[in-house]
Amino acid sequence: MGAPPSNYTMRPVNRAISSVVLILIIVIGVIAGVSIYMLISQKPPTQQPSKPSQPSAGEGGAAKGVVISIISRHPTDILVKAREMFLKSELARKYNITDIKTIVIPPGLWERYITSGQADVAWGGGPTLFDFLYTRGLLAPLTLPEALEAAAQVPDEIAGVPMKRVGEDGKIYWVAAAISSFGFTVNHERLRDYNLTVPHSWRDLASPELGRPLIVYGEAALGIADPTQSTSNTRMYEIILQRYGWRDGWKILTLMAANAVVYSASGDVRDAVIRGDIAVGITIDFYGYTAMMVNPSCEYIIPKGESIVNGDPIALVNGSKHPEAAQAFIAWVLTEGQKVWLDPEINRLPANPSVFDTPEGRNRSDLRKAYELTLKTRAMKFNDTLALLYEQVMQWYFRATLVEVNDYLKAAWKALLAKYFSGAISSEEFNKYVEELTAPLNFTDPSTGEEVTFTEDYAISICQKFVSDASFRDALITAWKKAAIGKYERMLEELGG
Amino acid sequence: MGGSAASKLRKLSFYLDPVLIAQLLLPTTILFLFLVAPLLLVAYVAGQYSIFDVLSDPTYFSLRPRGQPVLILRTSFRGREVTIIKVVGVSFGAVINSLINAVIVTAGATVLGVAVAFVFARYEFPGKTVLRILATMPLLLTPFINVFVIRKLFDWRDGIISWFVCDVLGLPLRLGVDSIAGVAVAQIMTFFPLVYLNVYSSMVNIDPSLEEQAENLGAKGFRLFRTVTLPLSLPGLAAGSALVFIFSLEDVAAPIVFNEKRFISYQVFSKFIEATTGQLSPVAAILALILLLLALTIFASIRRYVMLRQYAMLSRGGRWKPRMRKLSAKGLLAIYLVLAPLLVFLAFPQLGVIIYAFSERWTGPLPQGFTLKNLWSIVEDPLVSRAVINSLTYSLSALALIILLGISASYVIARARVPGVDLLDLLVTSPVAIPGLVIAVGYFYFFTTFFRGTPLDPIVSGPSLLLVLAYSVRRLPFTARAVFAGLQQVHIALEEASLNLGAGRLRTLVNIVIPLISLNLLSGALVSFVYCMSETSTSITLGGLGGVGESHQAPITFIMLDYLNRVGGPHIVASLGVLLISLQLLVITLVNVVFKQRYAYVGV
Repeated sequence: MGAPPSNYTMRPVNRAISSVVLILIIVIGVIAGVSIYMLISQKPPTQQPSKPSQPSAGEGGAAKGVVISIISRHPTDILVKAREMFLKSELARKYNITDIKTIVIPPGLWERYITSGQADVAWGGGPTLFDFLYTRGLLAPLTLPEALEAAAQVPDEIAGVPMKRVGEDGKIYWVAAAISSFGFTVNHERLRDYNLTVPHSWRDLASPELGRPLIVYGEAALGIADPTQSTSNTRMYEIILQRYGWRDGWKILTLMAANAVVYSASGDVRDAVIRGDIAVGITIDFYGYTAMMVNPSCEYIIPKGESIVNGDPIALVNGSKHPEAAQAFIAWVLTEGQKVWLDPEINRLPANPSVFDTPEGRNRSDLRKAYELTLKTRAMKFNDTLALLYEQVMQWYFRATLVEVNDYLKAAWKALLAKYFSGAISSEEFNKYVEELTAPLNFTDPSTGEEVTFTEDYAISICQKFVSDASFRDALITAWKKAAIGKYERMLEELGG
Repeated sequence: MGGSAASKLRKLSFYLDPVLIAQLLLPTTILFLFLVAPLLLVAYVAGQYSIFDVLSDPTYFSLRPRGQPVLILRTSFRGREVTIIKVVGVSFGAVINSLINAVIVTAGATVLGVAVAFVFARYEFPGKTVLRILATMPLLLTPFINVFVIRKLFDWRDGIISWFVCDVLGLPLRLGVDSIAGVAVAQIMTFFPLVYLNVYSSMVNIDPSLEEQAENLGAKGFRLFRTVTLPLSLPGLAAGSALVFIFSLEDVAAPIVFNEKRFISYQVFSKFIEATTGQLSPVAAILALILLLLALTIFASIRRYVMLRQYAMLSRGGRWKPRMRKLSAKGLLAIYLVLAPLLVFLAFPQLGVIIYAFSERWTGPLPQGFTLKNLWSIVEDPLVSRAVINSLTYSLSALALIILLGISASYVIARARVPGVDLLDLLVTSPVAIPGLVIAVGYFYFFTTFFRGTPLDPIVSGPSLLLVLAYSVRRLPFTARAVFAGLQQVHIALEEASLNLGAGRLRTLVNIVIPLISLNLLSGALVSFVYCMSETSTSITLGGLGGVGESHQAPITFIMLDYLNRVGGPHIVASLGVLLISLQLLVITLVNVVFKQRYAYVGV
């Protein structure tokens, strides 16, 4: 075999390198293994479960601190701030709470998260989500005296809207921790760029005027979000459907979608208005207030008599391992913790107005003004129960017919607008076409094979089945999509586009 | 017959000592469990649903184009009569859009890449090093935020190009690229260096005598390029453009940033995100399957160039002095007036990310204010610092597995002459072509079905373990490839000598083989590591299953996507981009300068 090449003779060095590599691998492996183990097993390692009904201070003695888990839809800055403030509070000390773990997860995963016993408190996400949890039996009533006392400080109703969910047993299942109104945020600079006037009602958002930039600049002036992804946008669509009635409501929703860029999440709409990608975006109030802080050409507008006040709940979840500590946190959020909302980067309206009497509260007279304005805003009558009866059906019908086939809708609408603006059709003809474009769909019900129209009664009648039967749901969505495409294409053809 | 069979068996038994068997079984088992099985499950779930429902849905599959590709509008904007030219592209439904887009991106990237490679491979000129660095800059991965900058470049209202043309030059013209066309442009800008680098290495390895012979026979100029140089560069060209095709198909960052839902990748991604009550829509499985099949088809066609065994042949060469020419004055002018600005433009997104990270505001066309606050927030913001620590943990954990698997698999493939080794080779290299989104969908089904309620269920325990496995599988090829190249250069006689002198297989491996390939191993491992840190597809899907909170389990890229949509967030995302850029530069320097190894520029 010949002498080995000279560079292979440095055996001891080679061996050293080899050992180093091996040691490295082992060390990396051990570190990795340990860290992964820690990551996975960090859920409830420090505390022992306490008996729910034992009314003792601090969860079975003070030996080890209690850590409570909060699932939330709040932006993380709110949660970080709340954690910081709460851990210094009297209540945290009294109930020996040494840390809170907050976690933001999509609403779709909440049920599994709660049933697997990983959450103590649910906080933020809108009444719709909390009512869903309530009907699924995932919420537990408040029992701790401090929590009940704190809940009593929150008005039962604000502008006719309940701030608490009281079960048939008379117990409180959720309490609003903040209130919100719904409206739209405009970017005045972009409105000027596009020569648009400031909209003041939902109907203004559906106007051909707001559609003009589509023709002139090839750009949608409005931004909305997919209701299946946004609880706040869902609420706004429900408001429109109740304010204008089913038929006219869908007309406005359809034309809004035709005028709009449809974003996935409500936060995207806010950012698009701030950046000026769009001139108007429909938002919940505090997104509007934030936009105003970030970009001075933005303004939040509450459509008069067309908005409602919503309570954004907090609740104890069923199966909490630390129900008392969890309720102590709830009590804190409803009282002292209301100060979190006053942070200049958060800007939300408190559910417990007494926070405005604190020194911090007196510093935010602007927020107090917004609060009073919200109370005074002629809130419309809103039927919560009715909205819940067709909610999921409405969300998916919206998505199937207005979001997923948005370019078909837009093509027809643009062809119509072009004819209208050029004077090729009269306004009577235009209105006739609009009625045709926006009328509730006729389609074949996949379960009965019958031709049906998408009326309010129909939506309510199928809602149960729609939620529970996935294949029915998929078939229905396909049918809606096909019918919608057919309608939009027919209109485009009629208009010769 | 019998004799040959017996001798075959004897040969086989020589290789099948316990160490080699373990080395064969370990990667095979892991890859089968955590790559093949989840993908099969995707196919199975897809099979439960009628694929016809997807193909008959015009939002997925339509033969009639929708929309106008280019809008030309004469109108008044900000008190001035202007012509707006907006390229937006047409839609044929998500499936066809993804395909057409991949074709366009591949074509664009190929033209750019070949041109740049040719200039660098054949001409010498002052400033070449700077331009070469510029040309590779787009490969520095800065998920999402580079596309964010590209979008800023092409916005017709406040974009940098429109601002320059209209407000600086004073022309009554506003230019924009958006929607489907925006995605294509962003991908061409990001992926063209893949073609450039592959073609470049092919070109410098062409035997100069071949071109000289052609010249002697009278060929010159474009004819020489078309008939000799280009055909000889085909292996690099094929590998580079096929990778661009696959990356374009699976890229989800550009569609997300352009809010362009009409692509398969976006559809799979959004179906994953909205997986209500832990159930993933079966349509996601069908679309994932389509994505997988398309990518695998392309992969099969370039398999020869990317598999370990063949890779060794490709990297050989460079023994001669490449043909370099000085450029004429006209040529130099072309370089400085056309190529240099073009390369600056193509590298702009990465430069823009750095500018973004250090600026206070960037709402109009130009950034304002210098600040270190954004960079500091990586440490200060508990969610961000947590994500950095998570990514480091996952990447290091994955690295341990990758090194183990990489050494085992490469050694078996290089040394053991046993049947089925080709299959292992295929298994180890295929993750290059398998879209991460498909792996994410597969893992979701796999772990929530078979491990429901156990610590391996991502919804119960969070995604840590899944991410480590996904990273290991996806980034294995880089290390395996480097180790294999090292093994090719180590003569087998050295091992045989050790075996003859009585050392066992393990001892030989530890004392002889690993020290000899340690530099290759380290380089490969570093590359794997850095691409784990910047891994996007599985990170933004699986990574979110544990939610976001101060003890969350999400990796860097998930937080980058999450922060993109919050007020002031893009600046923090850009800081994370700068962090990733620094990490990549460090690794490139270590690999190229310290270890003197070739750096494998692949990865999305």
